[in-house]
Amino acid sequence: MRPVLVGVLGLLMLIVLSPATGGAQQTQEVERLTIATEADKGNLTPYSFRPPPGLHSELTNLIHDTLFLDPYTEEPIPWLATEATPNSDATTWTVTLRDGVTWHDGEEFTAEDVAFTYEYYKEGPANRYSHHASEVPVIESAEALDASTVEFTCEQPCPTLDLITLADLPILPKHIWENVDDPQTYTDLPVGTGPYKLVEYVEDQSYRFEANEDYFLGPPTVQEIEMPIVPDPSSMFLALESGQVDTVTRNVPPELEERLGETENVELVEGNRFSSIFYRFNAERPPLDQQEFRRALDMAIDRQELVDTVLLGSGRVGSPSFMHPDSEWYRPEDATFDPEQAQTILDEAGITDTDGDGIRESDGEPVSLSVIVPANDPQQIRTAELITQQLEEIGVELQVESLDPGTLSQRQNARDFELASFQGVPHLLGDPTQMIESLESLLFYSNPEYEELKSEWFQASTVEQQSELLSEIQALFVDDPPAFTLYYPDTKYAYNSSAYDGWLPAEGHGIHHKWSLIPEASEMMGIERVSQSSTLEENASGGRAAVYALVGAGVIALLALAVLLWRRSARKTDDDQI
Amino acid sequence: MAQYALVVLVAVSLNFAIPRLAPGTPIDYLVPSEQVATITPEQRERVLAQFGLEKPLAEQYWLYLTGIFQGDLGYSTQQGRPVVDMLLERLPWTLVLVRGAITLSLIIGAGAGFLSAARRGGRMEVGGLAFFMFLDSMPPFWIGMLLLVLFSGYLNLLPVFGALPLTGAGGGFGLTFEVAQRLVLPLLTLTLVRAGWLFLVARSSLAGELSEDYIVMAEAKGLSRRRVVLGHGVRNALLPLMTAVAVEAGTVVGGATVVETVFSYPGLGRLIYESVLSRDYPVLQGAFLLLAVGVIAANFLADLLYPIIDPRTRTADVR
Repeated sequence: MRPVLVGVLGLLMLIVLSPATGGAQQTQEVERLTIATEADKGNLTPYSFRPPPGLHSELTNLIHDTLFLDPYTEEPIPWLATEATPNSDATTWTVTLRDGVTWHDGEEFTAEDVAFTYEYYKEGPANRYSHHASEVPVIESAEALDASTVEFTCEQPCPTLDLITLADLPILPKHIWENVDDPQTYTDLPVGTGPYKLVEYVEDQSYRFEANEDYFLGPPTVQEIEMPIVPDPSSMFLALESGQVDTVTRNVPPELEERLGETENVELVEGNRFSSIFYRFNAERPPLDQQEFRRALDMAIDRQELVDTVLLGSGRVGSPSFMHPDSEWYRPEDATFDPEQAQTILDEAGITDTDGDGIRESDGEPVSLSVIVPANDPQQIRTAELITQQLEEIGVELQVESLDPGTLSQRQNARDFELASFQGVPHLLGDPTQMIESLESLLFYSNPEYEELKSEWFQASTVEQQSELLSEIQALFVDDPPAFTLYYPDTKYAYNSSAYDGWLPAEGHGIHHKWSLIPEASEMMGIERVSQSSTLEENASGGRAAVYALVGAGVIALLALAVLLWRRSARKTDDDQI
Repeated sequence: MAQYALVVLVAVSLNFAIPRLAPGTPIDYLVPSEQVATITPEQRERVLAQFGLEKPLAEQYWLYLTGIFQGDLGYSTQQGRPVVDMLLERLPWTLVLVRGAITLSLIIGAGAGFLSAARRGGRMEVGGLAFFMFLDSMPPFWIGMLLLVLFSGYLNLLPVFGALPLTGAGGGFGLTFEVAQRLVLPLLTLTLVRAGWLFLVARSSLAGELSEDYIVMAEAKGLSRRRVVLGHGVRNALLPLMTAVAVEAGTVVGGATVVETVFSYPGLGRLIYESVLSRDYPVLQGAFLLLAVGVIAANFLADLLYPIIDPRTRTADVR
C-alpha cells in the first residue's frame, strides 16, 4: 500500500503547489497575448490551407502582407503599394510600391517579388489565392518595370484589381520561393514582410509569433503572441473563463453568450465575420430541375424560426441575394415565407398528392428529397431537422443524411446529392470575383439573363459598372435563386478586456487579425477599436448559478445512492467476511 | 512466427486499402470547398503529384510496401512532412499517457476488482461495484470535461490545454513539473475510463476461481484465507485479465482520441482523427501500421507470458 499512498500524496502536492496560470496584464503596450485557436493550419504559408473551422488568411496575414489592405473594404486602401493606376479600359495597371520595406530576413522588398508572386501563383499548384491570378481576372503578366513599379496586364478589363485581387494575394519573397518546387511539402517557417514573425510552430500544439520591430508601419502593439491550438470548444471557452488565455478565435455559440457575458473581465463583441448556412441544390435531379418547384421549396422555409430556434436569435434571416448583408456588394432583398403560396405553386405545377398519403407526387413518384449535412456540426443538423418539419407542411418529404466532411465533399463533387448544407465563408460571401466563379462551378447556376449579365460583367471597366451588374444579377435570384440561403449567424467574439482591448471588428474577418495589433489600422480602415466603442450588453445573471445547482444536485443524488447501497449491503451480510 | 508475419502482411495491405476505400480524396482538404469545383484537372494532378498520389494504385502499393522496409512512409498531404517524423513526434506522448493509464487502471481497477471478489457480499463489494460500473458507463469526454471544469475552471489549479508549456520553462525540473502538471488530468481521465472495465474483468474472474473445488480443497488443507485467495485464486484469475490488457493495448490508443481532443494533447489518437478527416493517406497508412504492429506485439508478448503464469499452457518442449 505504501507506494500507492506516496503516489497519491505526490499527486495532491503537485496540484496544490502548482501556481495558478494565467492572469492578465494591465498595460496598453502589451508584452504577451495568449490567443486560443481551434485548429492547426500548418506552417502558415499561403499554401498551408485547411478548411474551416479556424482562421486561415487572418493567420497567414500576420506574417505576410498584401499590396492593398483587404478585399472587403469599400475603397481600395494602399498597404504594400502606395497607388495603383489603371489605363482607360482597366486592362493594364501600374502599381507603385512602398520604399524601405524589408523582409523578415533583412532582404529588401522589391517589384521583383511582386511579379514573381503572381507568376508563381499562376504556374504552381492551386491554393486558396491562386484563382486571383489564373481565373477571375486572368492576369496575363505581372512585370517589374523598376525596383518599385509593377505593371499588371489582364486578359479582360479588371476594374477590381486594386480593390480585390491585389488586396487578397499575399506577396512571397522571391529569394526564398524561387527555390521551392513543391510548395505543399515546404515545411520551413515562412518569411514575410508582415507585423509578426512566426518563430515557433509545434504541430497540433501551438504557434508563437514575435513582433517585427522593423515593420513599415512601426512596431505592432503586442510584443509576443502565443497561440495554443485547442480543438475542443468547451475546453477552449473554459480556458478563457479561467484566465488561461486572453481571447479565443472561435465565435461564441449562442448558448454560451449569457455565461461568458457574466464572467469577470470577459467582454463580447460582434466581429462581422461573414458567415452563412445555405443549401445547394442539384438542378439535374427531378423535381429540382423545375424552377417552380425550387421556388415553392424556398417559400416554405421559415427562416425566422431557424434563427430563433437554432441560433437562439443570434443571427439574421437568409437573403436571396446570397452575399453577406454587410458586404459592399450585397443587394438588400428579403426572402418570402409563404407556405400557402408554395402550395398553390406546387398545385399549379401539377405536383399534387394523388394518393392521399400527405406527400405530393411528381411524375408518379412521391416527392422525397434528401439533404446531406456535415455530421460534425450539430447546428446544421438541427437546422435540417427543422426544415424537414417545415417542408412536411407543404407535402414534401425531406430526409437528413449526416456525413463526415470527406464523404460530404465527395458526394457534392460527384453531384450525387439533392440538397447539400454548406457553410458560406467570407471569401465566398464578400468577394464578387469568387462569387461569379462559384455561381457556375459550385452552384451550377445558369439562365439566359444571367449569362448575358455575366459577359457584361467581364467587359465592365469600372467598379461602379461591375457593382451595378452584380446587383442586377442578385435581383435575378429573387425568383430563381442559385441556392437557399437560410441564415447569417452572428459572429460574436469573447476577449479578456483587462489583457487587451485594442480589437478591431473588421468586416469579413472578426477581431483576430493583424489590424487589431497595428496602431494605424483603425484610422486607415475607419473602424473603431472595441476600447473606443461600447461592447455588447452583458446579460442578466442566472446561467452560472443554474449550472452549479445542477452539478450540486447530481453530486447529492450520487452520495445518497452510495449511502443507500452501503447501508443495505451492511444490513444484509456481515458474516461472509474474510 | 510465420503466423505473425502473415497477420502483419494482411494488416499492411488493409492499411493501404481502407483509407482509399473511404469516399473523398486528400484534394478536398487541400483546396477550399468554394474552389474545389473550379480547379482544372491539371491543377488537381499537380497537387496530387507532390505526394505521388496520381500514380496507378498498383504502383502506389508497391512504393508503399518497399518504403516500409526502407523506413520511408511517405509525406503527409496535410503537413508536407515525412510521416515517420510525425509519428515519432506523437508516439512518446501517447505512450506516456496510455502506458501510464494502463498501469494505473490495472493497479486501481484490478486491485479493487480482486478485493471486491475476495469480500463478496460485503459493503466494499456493493459500493465498489456501483462505483466502477458507473465509471465504466461514463463517456470519456464527459469525465474529462467534469475534471477540467473542476480542476482547471472552478479551482483553477491545472492548465486546460496542451502537453508542453507555451513559454519555454527551460529544461530540467521546471519542464518536468510543467509536463507532469499537464499530464495529470488526461491521465486521470483515461485511468478512470479503463479502470471500470478492468474492475469488472478482475472481479468476475476471481469470483469464478473462488467457487472452484480446488479452493475448497485449499481451505480444507487449513491454508489461511490470505494464501487461498492470493496464492491460488488470484494467480489463476490473472490469465483472463492479461488477455484483456493485451487486447486493450490497441483500443486504448483509439480511445485516447477523445481524451486527447478534450485536453488538446498531441498524441497519436488526434493525429489519426485529423488524418481521417483530411484523408491523409500516407499518415493513415503509417499510423495504422504502428497500431497493428503494437497490437500484434502485445498479443505476442501475452502468448509468451502465458506459460510462465499458467503451467497448463506450456507446451512439451518448453517444459
